[in-house]
Amino acid sequence: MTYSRRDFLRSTAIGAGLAAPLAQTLFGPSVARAQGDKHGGTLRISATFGLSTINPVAHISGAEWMATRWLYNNLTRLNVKREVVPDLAESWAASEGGRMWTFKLRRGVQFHIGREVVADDAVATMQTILDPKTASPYRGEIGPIERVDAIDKYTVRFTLRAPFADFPAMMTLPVARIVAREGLGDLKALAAKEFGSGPFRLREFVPGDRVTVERFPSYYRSGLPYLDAVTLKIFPEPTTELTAFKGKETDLIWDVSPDLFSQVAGTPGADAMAVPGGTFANVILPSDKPPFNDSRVREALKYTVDRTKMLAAIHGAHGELANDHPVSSAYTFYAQLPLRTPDLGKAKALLREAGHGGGISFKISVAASPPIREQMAVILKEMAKPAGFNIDVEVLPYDRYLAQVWNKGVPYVGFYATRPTADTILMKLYHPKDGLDEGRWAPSHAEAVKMLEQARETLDVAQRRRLYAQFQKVARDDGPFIIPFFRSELSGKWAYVRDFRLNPSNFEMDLEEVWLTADAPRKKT
Amino acid sequence: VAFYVARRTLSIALVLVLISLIVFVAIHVLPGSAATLILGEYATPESLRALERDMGLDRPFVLQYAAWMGGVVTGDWGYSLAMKQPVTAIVGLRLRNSALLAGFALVAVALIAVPLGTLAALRRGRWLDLAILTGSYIGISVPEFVTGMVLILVLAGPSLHLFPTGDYAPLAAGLRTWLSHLVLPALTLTLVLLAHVLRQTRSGLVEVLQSAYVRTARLKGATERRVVARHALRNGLLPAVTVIALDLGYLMGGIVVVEEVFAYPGMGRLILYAIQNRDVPLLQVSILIVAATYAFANFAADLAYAWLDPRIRYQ
Repeated sequence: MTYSRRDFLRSTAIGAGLAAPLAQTLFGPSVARAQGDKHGGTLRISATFGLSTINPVAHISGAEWMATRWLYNNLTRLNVKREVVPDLAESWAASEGGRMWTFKLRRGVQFHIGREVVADDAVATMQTILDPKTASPYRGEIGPIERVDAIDKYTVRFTLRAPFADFPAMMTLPVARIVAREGLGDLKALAAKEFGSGPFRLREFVPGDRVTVERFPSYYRSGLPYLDAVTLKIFPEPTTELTAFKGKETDLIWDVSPDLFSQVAGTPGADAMAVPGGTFANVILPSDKPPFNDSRVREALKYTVDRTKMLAAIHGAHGELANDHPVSSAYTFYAQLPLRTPDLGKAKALLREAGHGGGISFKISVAASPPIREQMAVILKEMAKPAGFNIDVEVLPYDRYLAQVWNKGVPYVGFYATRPTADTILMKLYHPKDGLDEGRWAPSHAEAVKMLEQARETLDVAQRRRLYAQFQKVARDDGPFIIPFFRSELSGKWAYVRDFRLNPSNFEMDLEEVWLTADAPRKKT
Repeated sequence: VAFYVARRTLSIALVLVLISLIVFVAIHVLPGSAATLILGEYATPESLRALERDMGLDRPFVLQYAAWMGGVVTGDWGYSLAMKQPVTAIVGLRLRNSALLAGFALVAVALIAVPLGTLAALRRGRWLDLAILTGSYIGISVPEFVTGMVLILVLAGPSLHLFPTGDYAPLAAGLRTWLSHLVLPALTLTLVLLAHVLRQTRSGLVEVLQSAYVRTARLKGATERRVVARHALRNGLLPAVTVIALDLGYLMGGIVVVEEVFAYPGMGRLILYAIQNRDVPLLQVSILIVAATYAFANFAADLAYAWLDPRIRYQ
């Protein structure tokens, strides 16, 4: 029988608390490092849906974005404090008043295929995304790019159609992962293969079920990542997902409901993680026709909402109260305005003034998923009833909702996840051309929309802050949405998973510095 | 016999073509398309048009079906719209997984249900018969969703943790690991299907045991064991064979719930995925595989009939 040094240590020093000091004196520092080593192990993550493709140009769900975050790099990345920090680009600068952006690439970064990342790769990736034939679902999100050029081997220059102050933040988006040129020739193959430079490379991908990635030894941040491998597995049934987590078949349970969250919180040895972000559901009040074309009617409805109670009922009080505009404190240009408190008297008075003293009846249509939509509509119905609002709530399957209700100028409940900047979500919600203007509000509020355009086109931070603050006030008082709260992102992990921080954009899951302690079930693989 | 086999095969092929047409029409009647579901609430009119063109969804309905049919005839099963991979590459693993689960469950069902059914028939009206029937009723009357959950919570919960909650492992991960993942879903299915086969065996056997030729066998002095094994079972099992064949079809695609609960990547979950994502090429192939399994299993059952009962002749 062979007897290794490790066995020897285990048999002699267990429970004596002597293992580490003894090891150091007997065998020198090498064994000591092995004892408290951050390296090694497999992290097993669970989610409930998504993971159809790992093609960064075409992927659409949180689970998919999470996986490509491990396989690829972007030019820039969004850290947990929501700052834009270097990734493949070491530095960047604006010229021509923000119409031109130049990124300097880090030298010596290797793709998994064994070649250096150069400017041509970034250019080819961007051109593929912008090509209408590619039909990239998130093409519209990355900004008004006119052309992309490689100035030299390590310099990429973007020329925009209009100045855009937040452009570097757009390069953090999942759609803007940098793909090696070799991979862009066959976009269909990219659905199951990867051509990235990220901290991990692909080991196995079963679409709709799981993805396994393994440590890329030549990653540009030397010594990282610590983990040998990461598995992301889809458990369609939340109870199974929770049981698997409790039985330590998984180490991290991603994006859970408040119910599951409280169960994780009650499990000894598990950490329940809640991070405030900018995710919200909004009741959309089409403001181009009666009754909601009268801003007093919109305001009356806003006054009926008890935001504290609604957040507690829907998301277990994990979140931040909101003021009927989409900018949460997670965004740089958040303006702290007095919070609207429920006032039924004022609501009734406003309705009377608007000529609806006898009450108003209307219907809100909601998609069956995610459940927050129906919950919000039903609670609003009850809260608004005493003020004279008679709301009928209609629940539809998601496909019918998309085809018949969404963006059709009728009241419904929308759902939006945290975006990289306030500009992204504001443009999406209010701009008639660059966004959707689901509330049909822009035509009657050209001044306000103009503010958004000015704010994104100037590099003057103070002026931007002023403009965004002004807009938030207008949107709060007059806007076409009821946004009662921002819900926190909820996840859970075992305590043996270390140095993991949840990003408010929870799919931006950075695992490079995450490590497992020696008591993790899969520390050794 | 060769003529009979050819005729049955042809009629099965016809049924499959009809099914593919029905599925195609049904998906088109539903609101939205794969493109609207992919873009969801981020769609713009331009992006929607571009994606529909890319997926070939902007063509007239008849052309889309013809193009799909043309592909199938030439051996090209098409591309999944949502997973953006060849359908054949996706279906392979799911088919293997479902076949494996179905195989385990069916063998377990046959091994448990036939002896228990026989026992119940022989003790007809006695307390053992009653106990077996009642027990099998519990299995079939509790929805498989509940059975699966209870098994997960009890046997895979943190306190006992005898088996993993679900998922699957390749054989390369070791025989134990591979098997451990199959136990709970297979057990759930066995509990659900037990009653079908058990009750058919019992009633088939009860009928045969009262027949003239069994009486003759007893009268000529054959032992009870010989009467049951040689004379009664062979005829009494006929209805059970049909039920097992139909169960095979169910196991290959109808077990959506069990596969969802156990996060098991099989055909059922794939079909659900294809419907949710309006993934027509993927749905077509998955449904056809399941339909073909049903049809051919039934066909095989008919052939088994002839073997079990030489009086049956097919023309």
